[in-house]
Amino acid sequence: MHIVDVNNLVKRYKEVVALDHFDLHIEPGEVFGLLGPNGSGKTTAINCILQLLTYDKGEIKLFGEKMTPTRYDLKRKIGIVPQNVAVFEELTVRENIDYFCALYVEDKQKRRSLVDEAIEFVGLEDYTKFRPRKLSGGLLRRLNIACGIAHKPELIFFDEPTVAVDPQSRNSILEGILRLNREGSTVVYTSHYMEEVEEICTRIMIMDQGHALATGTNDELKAMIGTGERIRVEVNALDDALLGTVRALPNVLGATFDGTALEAACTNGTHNVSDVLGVLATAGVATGRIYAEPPTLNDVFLEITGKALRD
Amino acid sequence: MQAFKAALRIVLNHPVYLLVYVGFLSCMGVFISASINSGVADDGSYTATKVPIAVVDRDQSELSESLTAYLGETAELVDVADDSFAMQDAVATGEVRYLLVIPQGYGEDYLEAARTGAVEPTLESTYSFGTMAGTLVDEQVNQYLGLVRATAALEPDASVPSVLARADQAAAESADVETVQTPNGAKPADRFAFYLQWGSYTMTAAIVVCVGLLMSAFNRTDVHRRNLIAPVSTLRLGMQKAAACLLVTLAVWAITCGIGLAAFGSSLGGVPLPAVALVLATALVFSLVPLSIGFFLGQIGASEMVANAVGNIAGMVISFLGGAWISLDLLAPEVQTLSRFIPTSWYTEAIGQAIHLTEITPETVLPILGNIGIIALFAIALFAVGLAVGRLNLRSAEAGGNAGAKAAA
Repeated sequence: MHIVDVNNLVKRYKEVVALDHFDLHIEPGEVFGLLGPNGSGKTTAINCILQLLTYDKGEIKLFGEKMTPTRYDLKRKIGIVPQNVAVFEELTVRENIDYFCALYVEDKQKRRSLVDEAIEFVGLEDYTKFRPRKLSGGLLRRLNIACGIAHKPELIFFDEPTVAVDPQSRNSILEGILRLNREGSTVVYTSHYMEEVEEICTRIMIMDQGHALATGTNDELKAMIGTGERIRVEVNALDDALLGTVRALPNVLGATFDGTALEAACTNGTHNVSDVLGVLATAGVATGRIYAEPPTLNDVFLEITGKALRD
Repeated sequence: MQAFKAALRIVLNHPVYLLVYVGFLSCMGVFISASINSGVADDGSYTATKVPIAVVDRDQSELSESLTAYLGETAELVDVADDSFAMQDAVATGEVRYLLVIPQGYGEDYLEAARTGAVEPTLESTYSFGTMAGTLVDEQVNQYLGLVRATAALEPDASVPSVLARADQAAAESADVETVQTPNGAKPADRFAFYLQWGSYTMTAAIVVCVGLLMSAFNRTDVHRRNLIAPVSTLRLGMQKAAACLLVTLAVWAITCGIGLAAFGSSLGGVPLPAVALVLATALVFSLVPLSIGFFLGQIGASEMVANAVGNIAGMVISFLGGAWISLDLLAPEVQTLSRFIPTSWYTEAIGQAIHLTEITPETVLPILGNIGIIALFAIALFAVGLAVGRLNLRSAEAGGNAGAKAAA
C-alpha cells in the first residue's frame, strides 16, 4: 500500500496549469524528495494533497484512503512543516508547540511529554520562554519544525524547510529529518537545493512546470542520462583547435573553456581523465588542479529540460 | 479548547493593552466624571472664589485706601513689597493673579480730573497670564473708579470722603446669586451615566485592540493554513475563537462597569435597581459593537498596529460624534443627523434615559429597549460584514480555502 497515492492530478490557476496530470506514489518509510525550481509545482502538489487547495481533476489517497478536507482521522497522522514559518508571534516557543500539538493530542500529560521531546529534538531548550520575534532565522525554522512534528506524525511534509537558513541550522534540520525517518516517519521533502535532496532522500522526483519529469533513486536518476563524469581542468589558455580536439574524444559529450578551466562532460568510461589530460599534454598546455566528479541532479535536470536547475 | 486557551493567552500576553485601555482610560473617565458640577455643591449653595491680588499703594490717599478696601471685599489681598523684582516674582509665580500699582498723587489728580473733565491719570496693573481672573479684577477697579468719577463730576463741591462714601454705596449694590437645580440638571447619578458614556471610548479601544489582535493572530495566512491541516473542524476552531472574543468583551465590560460602580455606586441611591440593570445592559450590548469591529479587523488580517490605530481613532470618533463627550445639542445640526448613523448616539441616549428612570413601566422602558435594539443591529451588521470578508478570504487560494476542496472531493 502506498502511503501517498496521487493519480492524474490537475490543478489550474486560470490559464496556468500548475499540475498537469501529476502522479505521485510514496511508500511507507521513504524519505521522498520533490526536486524542482521555484514554480515547478512542488508546493501546489503538497497543498492539494493536504486539501488546502482545490484541484480540477484527479484522485488523492493517503494511507490507502481517499483524502478529503474532513478526513480528520487521516489528518491526525500527518505533520506539516510549511515553507513559511507558521507560528503565533504572540505566544512563546513552548506555548506555540503546545498549541499545535494540542490540535492533535488532547491528553494533557501525554502532550507535555511530546512537547518536551519536540523541544529537545530541535534543540530549543534554552528558548522555551522566548517569543518568535526574539529568535534568529535558524531558530525560527527549528520552532516551525517542532510545531509540525511534536505529535509524532506517521507522514511528514517538509516544504522547503531550509530556505534562508545558515549552514549550521541547515545541517541540524537535515539530521533531524533523517532521525524522524529512522524513528518510523515517512518524509516528503520538497526543495530546490539538489545537494540536500541528494543527501537525505531515498527516492527523488524531479518536477518542472507541473510535470513529474523523472522519479527514482539518486543513482537511478543519474543512470538515466548520458553524462557519466564531469571533468574540470584548470588551464591558463586553450585555443579553439585544441578545444575541438577534446570534443572529438570518443567519450566526450561536450567541452567548454571559460578562460580559467576546461570543463568536459563525458560518458561512463575508464580512461576519460587520462584521455583529456593526454590531449593537453601533447599540446604542451600546463595544467593546474584537476577535478573529476560524477554527474549531479543538476546534470540530470539539465539533460532532461535543457536548462539548469538554478536558471 | 486549545484555540480558546491560546486566544486568551494571546490577549493576556499583552497586559499593557488591558492596563492602558481598560485601567487607565477607565480611571480617566472616573476623574472626568467626578469633576462634573465642580463649584456647585450638591446642596445648591454658592461660594464665590476669592482671587489672590496685591495692591502697591504709593499714594496713601483716601481714594487709594478706599479702592484697596473695595477690592479686599471680593479678592484676597496679598502683601507684596514695593520692589520691582518682588512684584515680578509675585505675578510670575502665580502668588497673585493681579497686581495694581497706585502711583503717588493719584487720588488728588484723579478727583481733579473728574471734576474738571480732564483726562484721568492712569494706574499700573499686571495680570497673571494663566487665568482670566486678573482681567475681571481690573474691570472691578475700572468700575469703582468710574463710580468715583461720576459722583465727583455730579457733585463738584462734595468732599472727598463724601464722594467715596457714595461710590462705596453704589459699588455695594450687587445681584443675588442663587443656584437652581433644574429637573433635567445634573444629578449625582449622572456622574455614573457620564462615566459609562465616556466608557464608549474605553470599551471600543480596549475591545477592538484585544479582539483584533486575537483574531488577526489566528487569521495570519500561514497559521490559518496550519490550522486547516489539523484534525479539528473549522467550525470547532471558530467557536473556540468566538468564545474567547466574547470572554474578552465581557471582561472589558465588567471591569469598565465595575470601576464605575466602585467610584459612583454610592450616587445611585435614588435610581431604581432595574434602571441600573438597564444601564449596565445597554453598556453590555454596546460592547458588542467594538467586538464586531475587532472581528472585522481580524478577518482582514489587520496588524497589531492597525488594530491599535483603529481602536483609538474609531473609539474617539464614535464617542465624540455619538455625544458621549459633548452633548449633541452643542453640535451642528449636520453632525446631529450624522450621529444617528453611529451606535454611540443611541447608546448615550439609552444610558441617559435609563439613569433618569423613576418608575419602571412599559412606557418608560420600551424606548430604552428600542435604543438597545438599534445598538444590537449595528453590532450584527458589522459582524455580518466581517463574516462576509472572512468567507471571501477563506475561499481564496492564498488563504488555503478548503471549502472549495470539499466541493471538489
